[in-house]
Amino acid sequence: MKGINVLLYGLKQGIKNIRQNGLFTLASVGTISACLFLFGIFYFMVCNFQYMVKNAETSVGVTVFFDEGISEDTIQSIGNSIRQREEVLEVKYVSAEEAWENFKKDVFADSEAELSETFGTDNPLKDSASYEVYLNDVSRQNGLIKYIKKLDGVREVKGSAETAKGLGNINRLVGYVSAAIIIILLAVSIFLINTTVSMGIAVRKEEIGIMKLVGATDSFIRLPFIIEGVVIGLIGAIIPLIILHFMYSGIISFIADKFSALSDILVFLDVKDIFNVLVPVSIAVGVGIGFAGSVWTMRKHLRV
Amino acid sequence: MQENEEYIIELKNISKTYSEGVDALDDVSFSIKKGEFVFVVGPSGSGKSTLIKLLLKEIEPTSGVIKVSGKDSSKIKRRNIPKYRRNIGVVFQDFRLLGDRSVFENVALAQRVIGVPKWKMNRNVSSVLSMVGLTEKLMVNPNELSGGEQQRVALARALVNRPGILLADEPTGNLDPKNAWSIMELLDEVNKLGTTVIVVTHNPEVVDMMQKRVIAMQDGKLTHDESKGGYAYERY
Repeated sequence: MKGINVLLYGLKQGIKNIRQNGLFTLASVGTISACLFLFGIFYFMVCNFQYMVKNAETSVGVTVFFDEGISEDTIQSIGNSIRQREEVLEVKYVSAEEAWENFKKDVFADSEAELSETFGTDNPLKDSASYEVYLNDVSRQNGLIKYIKKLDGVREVKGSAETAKGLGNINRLVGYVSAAIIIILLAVSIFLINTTVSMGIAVRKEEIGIMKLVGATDSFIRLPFIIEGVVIGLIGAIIPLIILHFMYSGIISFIADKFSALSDILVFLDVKDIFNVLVPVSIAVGVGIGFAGSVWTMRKHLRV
Repeated sequence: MQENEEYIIELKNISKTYSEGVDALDDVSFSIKKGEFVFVVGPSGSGKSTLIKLLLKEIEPTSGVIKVSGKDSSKIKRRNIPKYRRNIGVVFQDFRLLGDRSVFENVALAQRVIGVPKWKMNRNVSSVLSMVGLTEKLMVNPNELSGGEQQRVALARALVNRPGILLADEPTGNLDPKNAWSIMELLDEVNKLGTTVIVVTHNPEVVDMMQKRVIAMQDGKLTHDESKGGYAYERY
Protein backbone atom coordinates (compact mmCIF):
# COMPACT_ATOMS: atom_id res chain seq x y z
CA MET A 1 0.00 0.00 0.00
CA LYS A 2 2.83 2.34 1.00
CA GLY A 3 4.70 1.47 -2.21
CA ILE A 4 1.59 2.11 -4.34
CA ASN A 5 1.02 5.50 -2.67
CA VAL A 6 4.63 6.49 -3.32
CA LEU A 7 4.44 5.27 -6.93
CA LEU A 8 1.19 7.16 -7.55
CA TYR A 9 2.69 10.32 -6.08
CA GLY A 10 5.82 9.89 -8.23
CA LEU A 11 3.65 9.39 -11.32
CA LYS A 12 1.56 12.47 -10.57
CA GLN A 13 4.64 14.63 -9.94
CA GLY A 14 6.44 13.22 -12.98
CA ILE A 15 3.52 14.15 -15.23
CA LYS A 16 3.34 17.54 -13.53
CA ASN A 17 7.06 18.05 -14.34
CA ILE A 18 6.36 17.21 -17.97
CA ARG A 19 3.60 19.81 -18.12
CA GLN A 20 5.61 22.45 -16.27
CA ASN A 21 8.66 22.07 -18.54
CA GLY A 22 6.43 22.23 -21.62
CA LEU A 23 8.96 23.50 -24.16
CA PHE A 24 11.85 21.35 -23.00
CA THR A 25 9.57 18.34 -22.87
CA LEU A 26 8.46 19.05 -26.43
CA ALA A 27 12.08 19.41 -27.54
CA SER A 28 13.01 16.11 -25.90
CA VAL A 29 9.99 14.26 -27.26
CA GLY A 30 10.70 15.79 -30.68
CA THR A 31 14.33 14.68 -30.67
CA ILE A 32 13.59 11.17 -29.50
CA SER A 33 10.80 10.97 -32.08
CA ALA A 34 13.19 12.17 -34.80
CA CYS A 35 15.82 9.72 -33.62
CA LEU A 36 13.45 6.77 -33.56
CA PHE A 37 11.85 7.88 -36.83
CA LEU A 38 15.26 7.77 -38.51
CA PHE A 39 15.97 4.52 -36.70
CA GLY A 40 12.74 3.17 -38.20
CA ILE A 41 13.68 4.40 -41.68
CA PHE A 42 17.11 2.77 -41.44
CA TYR A 43 15.51 -0.34 -40.07
CA PHE A 44 13.15 -0.45 -43.09
CA MET A 45 16.13 0.06 -45.40
CA VAL A 46 18.38 -2.50 -43.74
CA CYS A 47 15.67 -5.14 -43.36
CA ASN A 48 14.29 -4.71 -46.85
CA PHE A 49 17.74 -4.51 -48.39
CA GLN A 50 18.75 -7.67 -46.57
CA TYR A 51 15.51 -9.26 -47.67
CA MET A 52 16.12 -8.27 -51.29
CA VAL A 53 19.74 -9.39 -51.04
CA LYS A 54 18.57 -12.70 -49.63
CA ASN A 55 16.21 -13.06 -52.54
CA ALA A 56 18.99 -12.12 -54.94
CA GLU A 57 21.36 -14.46 -53.18
CA THR A 58 19.06 -17.38 -53.71
CA SER A 59 19.17 -16.69 -57.43
CA VAL A 60 22.99 -16.58 -57.39
CA GLY A 61 23.95 -20.18 -57.89
CA VAL A 62 26.92 -22.51 -58.19
CA THR A 63 26.95 -24.87 -61.19
CA VAL A 64 28.49 -28.30 -60.77
CA PHE A 65 29.56 -30.29 -63.88
CA PHE A 66 30.41 -33.98 -63.79
CA ASP A 67 33.15 -36.18 -65.24
CA GLU A 68 32.35 -37.79 -68.64
CA GLY A 69 30.56 -41.10 -68.46
CA ILE A 70 29.66 -40.72 -64.79
CA SER A 71 26.98 -43.09 -63.47
CA GLU A 72 23.55 -41.95 -62.31
CA ASP A 73 24.35 -43.30 -58.81
CA THR A 74 27.46 -41.14 -58.52
CA ILE A 75 25.50 -38.06 -59.65
CA GLN A 76 22.90 -38.88 -57.02
CA SER A 77 25.60 -39.30 -54.37
CA ILE A 78 27.18 -35.91 -55.30
CA GLY A 79 23.73 -34.30 -54.99
CA ASN A 80 23.21 -35.84 -51.55
CA SER A 81 26.62 -34.65 -50.33
CA ILE A 82 25.85 -31.08 -51.45
CA ARG A 83 22.37 -31.09 -49.91
CA GLN A 84 23.83 -31.99 -46.51
CA ARG A 85 25.65 -28.63 -46.31
CA GLU A 86 23.79 -26.11 -44.11
CA GLU A 87 24.51 -23.12 -46.42
CA VAL A 88 22.73 -24.91 -49.28
CA LEU A 89 19.17 -23.78 -49.87
CA GLU A 90 18.31 -25.82 -52.95
CA VAL A 91 19.98 -28.26 -55.34
CA LYS A 92 18.46 -28.54 -58.79
CA TYR A 93 19.48 -31.20 -61.34
CA VAL A 94 19.71 -29.93 -64.93
CA SER A 95 19.97 -32.80 -67.41
CA ALA A 96 21.98 -32.49 -70.66
CA GLU A 97 18.70 -32.22 -72.59
CA GLU A 98 17.40 -29.41 -70.40
CA ALA A 99 20.74 -27.62 -70.69
CA TRP A 100 20.57 -27.82 -74.48
CA GLU A 101 16.94 -26.66 -74.55
CA ASN A 102 17.84 -23.65 -72.35
CA PHE A 103 20.81 -22.83 -74.55
CA LYS A 104 18.70 -23.01 -77.69
CA LYS A 105 16.13 -20.69 -76.15
CA ASP A 106 18.78 -18.17 -75.06
CA VAL A 107 20.99 -18.15 -78.17
CA PHE A 108 18.97 -19.35 -81.15
CA ALA A 109 15.52 -18.11 -80.21
CA ASP A 110 15.01 -16.36 -83.59
CA SER A 111 16.96 -18.67 -85.91
CA GLU A 112 15.60 -22.18 -85.64
CA ALA A 113 16.69 -22.93 -89.26
CA GLU A 114 20.31 -22.05 -88.63
CA LEU A 115 20.26 -24.19 -85.52
CA SER A 116 18.98 -27.35 -87.20
CA GLU A 117 21.37 -26.81 -90.12
CA THR A 118 24.36 -26.65 -87.79
CA PHE A 119 23.57 -29.28 -85.17
CA GLY A 120 20.76 -31.35 -86.67
CA THR A 121 19.40 -33.54 -83.88
CA ASP A 122 22.73 -33.79 -82.02
CA ASN A 123 23.05 -32.46 -78.50
CA PRO A 124 26.45 -30.75 -78.31
CA LEU A 125 25.93 -30.39 -74.55
CA LYS A 126 25.45 -34.11 -74.00
CA ASP A 127 28.12 -34.13 -71.28
CA SER A 128 26.81 -30.94 -69.69
CA ALA A 129 24.37 -32.31 -67.14
CA SER A 130 24.82 -30.32 -63.98
CA TYR A 131 23.58 -29.39 -60.56
CA GLU A 132 22.53 -25.81 -59.94
CA VAL A 133 23.15 -25.14 -56.28
CA TYR A 134 21.49 -22.17 -54.54
CA LEU A 135 22.78 -20.85 -51.22
CA ASN A 136 21.03 -19.24 -48.28
CA ASP A 137 24.19 -17.19 -47.58
CA VAL A 138 26.20 -16.03 -50.57
CA SER A 139 29.23 -15.15 -48.44
CA ARG A 140 29.82 -18.87 -47.90
CA GLN A 141 30.04 -19.63 -51.61
CA ASN A 142 33.83 -20.08 -51.76
CA GLY A 143 33.84 -22.64 -48.98
CA LEU A 144 31.11 -24.60 -50.73
CA ILE A 145 32.97 -24.55 -54.06
CA LYS A 146 36.12 -25.91 -52.38
CA TYR A 147 34.06 -28.68 -50.81
CA ILE A 148 32.29 -29.66 -54.04
CA LYS A 149 35.56 -29.68 -56.02
CA LYS A 150 36.90 -32.40 -53.72
CA LEU A 151 33.94 -34.69 -54.39
CA ASP A 152 34.59 -37.70 -56.70
CA GLY A 153 33.06 -37.36 -60.15
CA VAL A 154 33.06 -33.54 -60.20
CA ARG A 155 34.75 -32.08 -63.28
CA GLU A 156 34.17 -28.39 -62.79
CA VAL A 157 32.45 -25.99 -60.40
CA LYS A 158 31.43 -22.54 -61.57
CA GLY A 159 30.56 -19.93 -58.99
CA SER A 160 29.67 -16.29 -59.16
CA ALA A 161 32.21 -14.96 -56.71
CA GLU A 162 32.04 -11.29 -57.70
CA THR A 163 28.28 -11.09 -57.34
CA ALA A 164 28.50 -12.80 -53.98
CA LYS A 165 31.25 -10.50 -52.77
CA GLY A 166 29.48 -7.35 -54.03
CA LEU A 167 26.18 -8.15 -52.35
CA GLY A 168 27.90 -9.02 -49.09
CA ASN A 169 29.87 -5.74 -49.11
CA ILE A 170 26.82 -3.54 -49.77
CA ASN A 171 24.93 -5.30 -47.01
CA ARG A 172 27.74 -4.70 -44.52
CA LEU A 173 28.16 -1.05 -45.56
CA VAL A 174 24.47 -0.26 -45.06
CA GLY A 175 24.64 -1.95 -41.66
CA TYR A 176 27.70 0.04 -40.50
CA VAL A 177 26.39 3.43 -41.73
CA SER A 178 23.01 2.82 -40.07
CA ALA A 179 24.62 1.78 -36.79
CA ALA A 180 26.86 4.89 -36.76
CA ILE A 181 23.99 7.31 -37.45
CA ILE A 182 21.73 5.65 -34.89
CA ILE A 183 24.42 5.79 -32.19
CA ILE A 184 24.94 9.54 -32.81
CA LEU A 185 21.19 10.19 -32.65
CA LEU A 186 20.83 8.20 -29.44
CA ALA A 187 23.62 10.26 -27.84
CA VAL A 188 21.85 13.49 -28.86
CA SER A 189 18.60 12.21 -27.35
CA ILE A 190 20.22 11.35 -24.03
CA PHE A 191 21.79 14.81 -23.95
CA LEU A 192 18.40 16.45 -24.50
CA ILE A 193 16.71 14.34 -21.82
CA ASN A 194 19.52 15.43 -19.53
CA THR A 195 18.71 19.09 -20.25
CA THR A 196 14.98 18.57 -19.67
CA VAL A 197 15.43 16.72 -16.39
CA SER A 198 18.04 19.30 -15.26
CA MET A 199 15.43 22.00 -15.85
CA GLY A 200 12.91 20.00 -13.83
CA ILE A 201 15.39 19.67 -10.98
CA ALA A 202 16.15 23.42 -11.09
CA VAL A 203 12.43 24.29 -11.06
CA ARG A 204 11.77 21.94 -8.15
CA LYS A 205 14.94 22.73 -6.20
CA GLU A 206 12.98 24.28 -3.33
CA GLU A 207 10.54 21.39 -3.14
CA ILE A 208 13.42 18.88 -3.19
CA GLY A 209 15.05 20.77 -0.29
CA ILE A 210 11.82 20.64 1.71
CA MET A 211 11.31 16.97 0.94
CA LYS A 212 14.83 16.20 2.19
CA LEU A 213 14.12 18.07 5.44
CA VAL A 214 10.91 16.18 6.12
CA GLY A 215 12.65 12.85 5.62
CA ALA A 216 12.09 11.88 1.99
CA THR A 217 14.30 9.03 0.80
CA ASP A 218 16.57 9.37 -2.26
CA SER A 219 14.33 7.09 -4.29
CA PHE A 220 11.20 9.08 -3.37
CA ILE A 221 12.84 12.31 -4.58
CA ARG A 222 14.21 10.68 -7.73
CA LEU A 223 11.09 8.77 -8.74
CA PRO A 224 9.22 11.70 -10.41
CA PHE A 225 12.28 12.54 -12.52
CA ILE A 226 12.72 8.94 -13.62
CA ILE A 227 9.02 8.78 -14.49
CA GLU A 228 9.39 12.05 -16.41
CA GLY A 229 12.27 10.63 -18.47
CA VAL A 230 10.51 7.33 -19.11
CA VAL A 231 7.23 9.00 -20.16
CA ILE A 232 9.11 11.35 -22.52
CA GLY A 233 10.90 8.31 -24.00
CA LEU A 234 7.64 6.41 -24.35
CA ILE A 235 5.80 9.26 -26.10
CA GLY A 236 8.90 9.84 -28.22
CA ALA A 237 8.69 6.19 -29.34
CA ILE A 238 4.94 5.99 -29.97
CA ILE A 239 4.74 9.07 -32.24
CA PRO A 240 7.27 7.87 -34.87
CA LEU A 241 5.87 4.33 -34.74
CA ILE A 242 2.43 5.62 -35.76
CA ILE A 243 3.90 7.79 -38.53
CA LEU A 244 6.19 5.00 -39.76
CA HIS A 245 3.33 2.52 -39.84
CA PHE A 246 1.25 4.67 -42.16
CA MET A 247 4.31 5.67 -44.19
CA TYR A 248 5.57 2.12 -44.73
CA SER A 249 2.14 0.75 -45.69
CA GLY A 250 1.71 3.69 -48.08
CA ILE A 251 5.11 3.24 -49.73
CA ILE A 252 4.63 -0.51 -50.23
CA SER A 253 1.21 0.00 -51.82
CA PHE A 254 2.51 2.87 -53.95
CA ILE A 255 5.47 0.87 -55.29
CA ALA A 256 3.33 -2.18 -55.85
CA ASP A 257 0.88 -0.07 -57.90
CA LYS A 258 3.28 2.12 -59.84
CA PHE A 259 6.27 -0.17 -60.31
CA SER A 260 4.62 -3.54 -60.81
CA ALA A 261 7.18 -4.31 -63.54
CA LEU A 262 9.92 -4.36 -60.91
CA SER A 263 8.01 -6.63 -58.58
CA ASP A 264 10.66 -9.37 -58.96
CA ILE A 265 13.43 -7.10 -57.72
CA LEU A 266 11.59 -4.81 -55.28
CA VAL A 267 10.34 -7.40 -52.85
CA PHE A 268 9.36 -5.77 -49.55
CA LEU A 269 8.85 -7.29 -46.15
CA ASP A 270 5.30 -7.38 -44.88
CA VAL A 271 4.17 -4.51 -42.55
CA LYS A 272 3.54 -7.05 -39.80
CA ASP A 273 7.02 -8.59 -40.11
CA ILE A 274 8.63 -5.15 -39.80
CA PHE A 275 6.52 -3.85 -36.89
CA ASN A 276 6.63 -7.09 -34.89
CA VAL A 277 10.26 -6.18 -34.26
CA LEU A 278 10.21 -2.39 -34.63
CA VAL A 279 7.47 -1.75 -32.01
CA PRO A 280 9.14 -3.49 -29.04
CA VAL A 281 12.62 -2.32 -30.06
CA SER A 282 11.56 1.34 -30.46
CA ILE A 283 9.64 1.34 -27.18
CA ALA A 284 12.55 -0.30 -25.37
CA VAL A 285 15.01 2.18 -26.91
CA GLY A 286 12.74 5.20 -26.13
CA VAL A 287 12.09 4.14 -22.54
CA GLY A 288 15.76 3.18 -22.17
CA ILE A 289 16.94 6.59 -23.39
CA GLY A 290 14.50 8.32 -21.01
CA PHE A 291 15.57 6.20 -18.07
CA ALA A 292 19.31 6.46 -18.80
CA GLY A 293 19.07 10.23 -19.43
CA SER A 294 17.24 10.95 -16.18
CA VAL A 295 19.42 8.66 -14.04
CA TRP A 296 22.56 10.22 -15.53
CA THR A 297 21.22 13.75 -14.82
CA MET A 298 20.32 12.93 -11.23
CA ARG A 299 23.77 11.51 -10.57
CA LYS A 300 25.16 14.80 -11.81
CA HIS A 301 22.75 17.32 -10.26
CA LEU A 302 20.75 15.66 -7.54
CA ARG A 303 22.91 14.52 -4.69
CA VAL A 304 20.14 13.73 -2.22
CA MET B 1 28.48 15.87 30.44
CA GLN B 2 26.73 12.92 31.93
CA GLU B 3 25.15 10.37 29.60
CA ASN B 4 21.53 9.90 30.41
CA GLU B 5 18.54 8.34 28.70
CA GLU B 6 16.37 11.36 29.50
CA TYR B 7 18.54 13.54 27.24
CA ILE B 8 17.11 13.69 23.74
CA ILE B 9 20.05 15.72 22.39
CA GLU B 10 23.63 15.55 23.64
CA LEU B 11 26.52 17.51 22.13
CA LYS B 12 29.99 16.65 23.42
CA ASN B 13 32.98 18.82 22.45
CA ILE B 14 31.57 19.67 19.03
CA SER B 15 33.80 21.68 16.71
CA LYS B 16 33.11 22.49 13.09
CA THR B 17 35.58 24.01 10.66
CA TYR B 18 34.33 24.55 7.10
CA SER B 19 36.54 23.72 4.12
CA GLU B 20 37.30 27.43 3.63
CA GLY B 21 38.93 27.39 7.05
CA VAL B 22 36.08 29.14 8.89
CA ASP B 23 35.70 27.91 12.48
CA ALA B 24 31.93 27.87 13.02
CA LEU B 25 31.80 25.94 16.30
CA ASP B 26 34.54 25.51 18.86
CA ASP B 27 34.28 22.80 21.49
CA VAL B 28 30.56 23.19 22.18
CA SER B 29 28.93 20.84 24.70
CA PHE B 30 25.39 20.83 26.06
CA SER B 31 22.47 18.46 26.57
CA ILE B 32 18.75 18.92 26.14
CA LYS B 33 16.23 16.85 28.04
CA LYS B 34 13.24 15.21 26.45
CA GLY B 35 10.32 17.66 26.51
CA GLU B 36 12.47 20.72 27.18
CA PHE B 37 11.95 24.15 25.58
CA VAL B 38 15.28 25.81 24.74
CA PHE B 39 16.21 29.11 23.12
CA VAL B 40 19.55 29.32 21.32
CA VAL B 41 20.51 32.98 21.03
CA GLY B 42 23.49 34.84 19.69
CA PRO B 43 24.55 37.33 17.01
CA SER B 44 25.04 36.47 13.32
CA GLY B 45 28.05 34.23 12.82
CA SER B 46 27.85 32.83 16.34
CA GLY B 47 27.31 29.29 15.02
CA LYS B 48 23.53 28.91 15.51
CA SER B 49 22.82 27.90 11.91
CA THR B 50 25.73 25.44 11.92
CA LEU B 51 24.19 23.90 15.01
CA ILE B 52 20.89 23.37 13.21
CA LYS B 53 22.64 21.88 10.16
CA LEU B 54 24.53 19.48 12.41
CA LEU B 55 21.36 18.37 14.15
CA LEU B 56 19.69 17.80 10.77
CA LYS B 57 22.76 15.88 9.59
CA GLU B 58 23.19 18.20 6.62
CA ILE B 59 26.84 18.50 7.67
CA GLU B 60 29.15 16.48 9.91
CA PRO B 61 31.15 17.89 12.85
CA THR B 62 34.94 18.16 12.49
CA SER B 63 35.26 16.64 15.96
CA GLY B 64 33.06 15.68 18.88
CA VAL B 65 29.99 13.51 19.34
CA ILE B 66 26.31 14.33 18.74
CA LYS B 67 23.75 11.97 20.21
CA VAL B 68 20.09 12.22 19.31
CA SER B 69 17.68 10.00 21.26
CA GLY B 70 20.73 8.21 22.65
CA LYS B 71 22.19 7.33 19.23
CA ASP B 72 25.54 8.62 17.99
CA SER B 73 24.55 10.51 14.83
CA SER B 74 27.92 9.85 13.16
CA LYS B 75 27.04 6.15 13.12
CA ILE B 76 23.85 6.72 11.11
CA LYS B 77 24.38 5.41 7.56
CA ARG B 78 23.62 7.72 4.65
CA ARG B 79 20.61 5.66 3.57
CA ASN B 80 19.12 5.98 7.07
CA ILE B 81 19.37 9.79 7.25
CA PRO B 82 15.78 10.31 5.90
CA LYS B 83 14.43 8.09 8.70
CA TYR B 84 16.52 10.04 11.24
CA ARG B 85 15.14 13.36 9.95
CA ARG B 86 11.55 12.19 10.34
CA ASN B 87 11.96 12.58 14.08
CA ILE B 88 12.97 16.24 13.70
CA GLY B 89 10.48 18.87 12.54
CA VAL B 90 11.95 22.11 11.17
CA VAL B 91 10.54 25.62 10.79
CA PHE B 92 12.44 28.41 9.03
CA GLN B 93 12.29 32.20 9.06
CA ASP B 94 11.32 32.26 5.34
CA PHE B 95 8.61 29.58 5.83
CA ARG B 96 9.76 27.56 2.77
CA LEU B 97 6.25 26.80 1.52
CA LEU B 98 5.44 25.71 -2.02
CA GLY B 99 3.54 28.49 -3.76
CA ASP B 100 2.11 26.21 -6.46
CA ARG B 101 -0.04 24.15 -4.10
CA SER B 102 -2.61 24.62 -1.38
CA VAL B 103 -2.08 24.83 2.38
CA PHE B 104 -3.36 21.26 2.64
CA GLU B 105 -0.91 20.00 0.00
CA ASN B 106 2.03 21.78 1.66
CA VAL B 107 1.34 20.05 4.94
CA ALA B 108 0.45 16.73 3.28
CA LEU B 109 3.85 16.66 1.55
CA ALA B 110 5.50 15.66 4.82
CA GLN B 111 3.09 12.72 5.08
CA ARG B 112 3.42 11.72 1.44
CA VAL B 113 7.19 11.36 1.63
CA ILE B 114 6.79 8.73 4.31
CA GLY B 115 4.01 6.94 2.41
CA VAL B 116 1.11 7.55 4.81
CA PRO B 117 -2.19 6.17 3.36
CA LYS B 118 -4.51 8.84 2.01
CA TRP B 119 -7.28 8.41 4.58
CA LYS B 120 -4.82 8.67 7.44
CA MET B 121 -3.04 11.59 5.81
CA ASN B 122 -6.31 13.52 5.41
CA ARG B 123 -7.10 12.96 9.08
CA ASN B 124 -3.60 13.94 10.30
CA VAL B 125 -3.36 17.05 8.11
CA SER B 126 -6.82 18.27 9.14
CA SER B 127 -5.99 17.67 12.78
CA VAL B 128 -2.69 19.57 12.72
CA LEU B 129 -4.19 22.45 10.70
CA SER B 130 -6.95 22.68 13.29
CA MET B 131 -4.29 22.86 16.00
CA VAL B 132 -2.60 25.85 14.32
CA GLY B 133 -5.98 27.48 13.64
CA LEU B 134 -6.05 27.19 9.85
CA THR B 135 -8.98 24.81 9.29
CA GLU B 136 -10.77 27.43 7.22
CA LYS B 137 -7.80 27.91 4.88
CA LEU B 138 -7.20 24.34 3.76
CA MET B 139 -7.45 24.99 0.05
CA VAL B 140 -5.97 28.48 0.03
CA ASN B 141 -2.65 29.13 -1.67
CA PRO B 142 0.06 30.10 0.87
CA ASN B 143 0.84 33.27 -1.10
CA GLU B 144 -2.62 34.55 -0.16
CA LEU B 145 -1.90 34.20 3.58
CA SER B 146 -0.32 36.67 6.02
CA GLY B 147 3.23 36.03 7.29
CA GLY B 148 1.90 34.72 10.59
CA GLU B 149 -0.45 32.33 8.82
CA GLN B 150 2.31 31.13 6.53
CA GLN B 151 4.48 30.36 9.55
CA ARG B 152 1.57 28.41 11.04
CA VAL B 153 1.40 26.33 7.86
CA ALA B 154 5.14 25.69 8.10
CA LEU B 155 4.69 24.71 11.73
CA ALA B 156 1.84 22.37 10.81
CA ARG B 157 4.07 20.73 8.17
CA ALA B 158 6.86 20.31 10.74
CA LEU B 159 4.48 18.74 13.26
CA VAL B 160 2.27 16.52 11.11
CA ASN B 161 4.67 13.55 11.33
CA ARG B 162 4.68 13.92 15.14
CA PRO B 163 8.44 14.44 15.55
CA GLY B 164 10.09 14.15 18.95
CA ILE B 165 12.10 17.32 18.33
CA LEU B 166 11.06 20.61 16.76
CA LEU B 167 13.79 22.96 15.48
CA ALA B 168 12.66 26.51 14.77
CA ASP B 169 15.25 28.71 13.04
CA GLU B 170 14.27 32.37 13.56
CA PRO B 171 10.54 31.49 13.39
CA THR B 172 9.47 35.06 14.23
CA GLY B 173 12.11 36.83 12.11
CA ASN B 174 9.63 37.90 9.42
CA LEU B 175 6.65 38.55 11.68
CA ASP B 176 5.18 41.56 13.49
CA PRO B 177 5.12 41.38 17.33
CA LYS B 178 1.51 40.18 17.49
CA ASN B 179 2.07 37.32 15.05
CA ALA B 180 5.46 36.56 16.62
CA TRP B 181 3.87 36.13 19.99
CA SER B 182 1.10 34.00 18.55
CA ILE B 183 3.69 31.65 17.01
CA MET B 184 5.56 31.45 20.31
CA GLU B 185 2.33 30.51 22.07
CA LEU B 186 1.83 27.74 19.56
CA LEU B 187 5.38 26.48 20.10
CA ASP B 188 4.76 26.50 23.82
CA GLU B 189 1.57 24.50 23.30
CA VAL B 190 3.46 21.98 21.14
CA ASN B 191 6.08 21.70 23.86
CA LYS B 192 3.43 21.06 26.48
CA LEU B 193 2.20 18.16 24.38
CA GLY B 194 5.63 16.53 24.85
CA THR B 195 7.72 17.70 21.89
CA THR B 196 11.21 18.99 22.62
CA VAL B 197 11.39 22.49 21.14
CA ILE B 198 14.60 24.31 20.20
CA VAL B 199 14.16 27.88 18.99
CA VAL B 200 17.06 29.76 17.42
CA THR B 201 16.22 33.45 17.58
CA HIS B 202 17.34 37.07 17.54
CA ASN B 203 14.10 38.27 19.09
CA PRO B 204 14.82 39.51 22.66
CA GLU B 205 11.16 40.18 23.46
CA VAL B 206 9.97 36.61 23.00
CA VAL B 207 12.96 35.17 24.86
CA ASP B 208 12.44 37.53 27.77
CA MET B 209 8.69 36.88 27.93
CA MET B 210 8.86 33.08 27.67
CA GLN B 211 11.40 32.65 30.48
CA LYS B 212 12.67 29.29 29.23
CA ARG B 213 16.15 27.79 29.12
CA VAL B 214 18.54 29.96 27.11
CA ILE B 215 21.80 28.82 25.49
CA ALA B 216 23.85 31.81 24.32
CA MET B 217 26.56 31.54 21.69
CA GLN B 218 29.21 33.87 20.41
CA ASP B 219 32.02 33.28 17.88
CA GLY B 220 31.26 29.57 17.77
CA LYS B 221 31.52 29.15 21.54
CA LEU B 222 28.81 28.46 24.10
CA THR B 223 28.96 31.47 26.36
CA HIS B 224 26.01 30.91 28.71
CA ASP B 225 23.48 28.22 29.50
CA GLU B 226 20.74 29.26 31.96
CA SER B 227 17.74 27.14 32.85
CA LYS B 228 15.36 30.14 32.96
CA GLY B 229 16.47 33.39 31.53
CA GLY B 230 16.19 36.24 29.06
CA TYR B 231 18.05 37.50 26.01
CA ALA B 232 20.44 39.55 28.19
CA TYR B 233 23.21 37.02 27.59
CA GLU B 234 24.15 38.71 24.34
CA ARG B 235 25.79 41.54 26.25
CA TYR B 236 28.29 39.23 27.98
